[in-house]
Amino acid sequence: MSRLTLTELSRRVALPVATVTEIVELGIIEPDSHDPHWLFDETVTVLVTRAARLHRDLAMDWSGVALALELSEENRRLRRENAALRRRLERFLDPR
Amino acid sequence: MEFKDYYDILGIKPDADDKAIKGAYRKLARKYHPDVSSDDDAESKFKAVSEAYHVLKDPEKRAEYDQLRRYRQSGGGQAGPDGWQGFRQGGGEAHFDDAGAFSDFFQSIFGGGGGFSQRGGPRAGRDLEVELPLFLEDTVADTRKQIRVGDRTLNVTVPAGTGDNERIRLKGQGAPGLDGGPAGDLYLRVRLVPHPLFDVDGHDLLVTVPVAPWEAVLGAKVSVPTLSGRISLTVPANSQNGRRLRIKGKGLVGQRHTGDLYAVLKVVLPEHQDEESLALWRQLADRAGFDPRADWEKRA
Repeated sequence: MSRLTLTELSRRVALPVATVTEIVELGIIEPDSHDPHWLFDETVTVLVTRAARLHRDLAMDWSGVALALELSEENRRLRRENAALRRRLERFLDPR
Repeated sequence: MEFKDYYDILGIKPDADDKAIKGAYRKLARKYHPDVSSDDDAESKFKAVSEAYHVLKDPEKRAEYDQLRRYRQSGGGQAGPDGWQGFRQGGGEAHFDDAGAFSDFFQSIFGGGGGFSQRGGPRAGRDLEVELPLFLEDTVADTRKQIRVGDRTLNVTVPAGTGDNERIRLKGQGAPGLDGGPAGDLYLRVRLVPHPLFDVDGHDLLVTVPVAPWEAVLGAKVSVPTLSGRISLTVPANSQNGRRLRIKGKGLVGQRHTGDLYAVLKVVLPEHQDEESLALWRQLADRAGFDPRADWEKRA
């Protein structure tokens, strides 16, 4: 899979390099490699786009966006885990 | 065309000031933002809220909308008041992206394509992400799937071993580019569909296997389904309820390793027992001298 430099990523998501740098520094996305420059997996564009939408639509600053994304991902994971555990429990409690 | 009451949508009074409008929008936008909301209908609700805010925050648009709303309330029906023609979207405010086109109602008043495209040279289309529901059986071998994205139908090959939450990238199948820019990519996020028999735990699968009390005590050979046909499983003697028996290599196929299948034993009683069986149970109760609660209350 091909990887993107910071400049290429910025162009792909139509955000200034400084903004993408801030997004990386807040841990919203992580570069695959640091040496000698940042290189990103192409799949991060979806995350950056999502972050940019939250920033714009909810007028949040970037650290708020980072927190919102982290919590919503955790929330999503827990919901799925909860649903899976409920299903397992029901199978076990079902008398048949 | 259905009239949209933007005030109702934002849950505010028609005389609400800018601060109240903004506050109501912020609150609902947080609640229904498709990137964070778990509401099934989040996207359409968010669009409705955004559209309402887009109109009400702009004094000119709000005045025009209010005029139409008053006219309608006074029994004016579908047609606009005298001289009402709607004004056309003028500036190219970079606000709404291609996924956020406003409703027909909005366009009938304010015109425009509803898209608030950004100006200034070719721009790559947005990358899109959609969920791809996948049956567990589909993960065993490469599987061809048909998906609909908007008005397009795409054929995708899902490689064997694709797991829950993984992304499949389809280059150039995202939103179209603007002014000659390249199209974005489409990402399919895999969601394993709950199975009637198997539960998923990482790469491992679990199947709950009902056994009779005597099978649990004496041991038995039982036939158990797997994703690739049935196998014969040995239930060891003296198996407690809930015991997990590992069937190696019969879990989900992974790109690095294949998981295992765990059979979870569930002891079930017969629904009806005749007098003779009950007599045998009584005999066993006398003979066993077993108190399952001997240590139980000591834990309290």
